[in-house]
Amino acid sequence: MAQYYYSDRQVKTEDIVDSAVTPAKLSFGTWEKIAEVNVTSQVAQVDITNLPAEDKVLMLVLNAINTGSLTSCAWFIRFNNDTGTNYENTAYVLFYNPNKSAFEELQRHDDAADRACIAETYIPMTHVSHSIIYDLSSEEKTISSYGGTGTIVTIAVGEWKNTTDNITSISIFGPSGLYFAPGSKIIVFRLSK
Amino acid sequence: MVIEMEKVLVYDCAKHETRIEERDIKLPEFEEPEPPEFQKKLEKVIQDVEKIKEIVRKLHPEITL
Repeated sequence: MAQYYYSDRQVKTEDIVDSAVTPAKLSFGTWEKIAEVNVTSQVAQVDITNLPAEDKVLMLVLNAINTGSLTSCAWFIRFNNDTGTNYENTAYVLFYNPNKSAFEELQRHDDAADRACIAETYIPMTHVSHSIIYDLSSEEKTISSYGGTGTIVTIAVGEWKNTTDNITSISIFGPSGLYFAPGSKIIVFRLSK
Repeated sequence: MVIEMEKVLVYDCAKHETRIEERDIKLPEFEEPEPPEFQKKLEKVIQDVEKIKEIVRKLHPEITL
């Protein structure tokens, strides 16, 4: 194979094709983007399917623009289309109180089991959050989410009580009446091996 | 939970393709959350203050509260 060198011995990154930039070529861990979904027309649910059936760490970035009859509500997550009551969740909604120069608890939710899903976060209107998902086939899958807009911040933790499978699909949806508006975006990253 | 026919945006990570499906999906129903603990305590304090005012009015009707 021919080798080419620049006179200054520097690598010109624009000459490297994207496919050649693999995790093995990097000397540090990184997040690989494995899905990017742009909502162009109103939908009630977004499914990320055909995720690799192996142990992995995922980061889900959600920029949801709410629309419909409910614009101030939570988004929910379900794994592998499991609609059984196999989820646990606790979410705290905190708001900044300028009189105390501190965040205070506004709401606490522990309601995932009967909804057959995990409440991702409770953020009014436009909802920006990121979630870290640990997927080990032999253990419960855990998810921790952090979101916020303005003076409201949400911290949510949950688990999917499945100890046999890997996560191969993620569904994100609101309660009945809440929709993703055009302009919403969902990106999924996987921690490199 | 309710089952509704809705539009679903499906992204396939293996094919890197996006498609829209219209199918039945299971959605939670919206529930108004419980008021937080401090709000409940505040309501209790307000009720107690009203009771104290009533007692004071009976004992000292000359006092305007």
